[in-house]
Amino acid sequence: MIHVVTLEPFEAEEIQAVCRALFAAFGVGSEHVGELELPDDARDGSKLDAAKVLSEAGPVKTFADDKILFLVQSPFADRPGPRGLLPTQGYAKYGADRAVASAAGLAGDPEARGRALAKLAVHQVGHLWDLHHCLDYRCSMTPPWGVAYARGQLPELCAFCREKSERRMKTTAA
Amino acid sequence: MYPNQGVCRISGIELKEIGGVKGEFLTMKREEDGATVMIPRAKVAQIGLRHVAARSEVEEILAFLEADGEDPELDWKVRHRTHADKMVGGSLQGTAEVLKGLHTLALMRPLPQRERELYDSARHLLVHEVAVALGLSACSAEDSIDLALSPPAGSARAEAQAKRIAASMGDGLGLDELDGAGEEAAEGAEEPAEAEAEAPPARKAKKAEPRPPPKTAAKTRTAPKREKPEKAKAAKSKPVKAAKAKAKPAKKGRR
Repeated sequence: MIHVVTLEPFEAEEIQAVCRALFAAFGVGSEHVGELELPDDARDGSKLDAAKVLSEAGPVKTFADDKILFLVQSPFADRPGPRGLLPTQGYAKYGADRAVASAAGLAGDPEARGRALAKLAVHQVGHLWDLHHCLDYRCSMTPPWGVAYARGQLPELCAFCREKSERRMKTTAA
Repeated sequence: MYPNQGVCRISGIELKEIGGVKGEFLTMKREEDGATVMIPRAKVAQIGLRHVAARSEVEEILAFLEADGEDPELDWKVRHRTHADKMVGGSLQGTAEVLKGLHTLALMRPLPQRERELYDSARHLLVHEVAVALGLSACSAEDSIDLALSPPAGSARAEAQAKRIAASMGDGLGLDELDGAGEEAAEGAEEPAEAEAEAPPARKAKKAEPRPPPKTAAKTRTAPKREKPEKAKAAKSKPVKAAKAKAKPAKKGRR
């Protein structure tokens, strides 16, 4: 089960788009469990520290193998990397149970915004099943800042990533 | 760092008797999933077990990924052998070379299934080693690697990369040699999995159309088309044997 938790207000349409896309991509149930408060420590000026949001966001009741996706509206501060700042639209603990995605910078009508947010959500939740970045521009696991990411419009996984996530789910369940 | 396995933590050295032979074994736990791995102490060097790379080495690797690379090897057999050797060797540089080589290739056309898996393995090993070496999360390590490989849209590097790819695709490199699928089918298919598993339908349809003769010599590929009707019928009744029998002399001749 994938639990979608909003930390800031979202349109119902956008949340529905995210839940539908997660179900379609991973084949497991996905539901919006409600809205929690954004942790105070996670705010760094006008931006959020993605790692802190993950570690400090309030408790969500889950069972084994459940995944949690937090959604925020505020932008994330870019993370420091060895060769400069890393563009951050989301963050996930690989192979763990928590991921976060931000809707900041997503433009267009609610439908287009919902689709773009859903693609980001699929990307971040994919990391929870140990999916790495993908080469196929149609796949949501393409790096979000790359040229290829904008070309793939739909929040879906390529055959390789889908099979890998299914294998991973079976292994975890066993 | 255990080649092809990933980052492991040595938990001890044990004396064990296996098959009546006593020996010292290194017991290690794989960092990512806690799986236990035991290797004979005498074979540590042979296997290629090594320390996790230092920060300076990782920075060199990221600079290598960022720099313009050579054009990818187009002969899939040579490429497969080279990549397999590098992965077994287990060096950080070798793994990065496999990743970069396949990444460059994938910008020209989709990778066959087996190379796609190899690409994922190389990426997995590199991400976890970079993460441990630099004390980053796996997420940040992968983003660092991808920032080097795929520059952000609109940047000067992204434009230069796009131009380079366009140039390499238009210079008549003979991209038919990339997968070798057609050649293998004619030769009896040692590697049927190399056929384009992920190729879009439009491309597959294109392959069926008659083509002008390729620039590079590929006599075995065109040979079955020249068969007389009687021979073609015989080949149809025993497709596998006929193909293999034809392939053998051609292979010997080439080697």
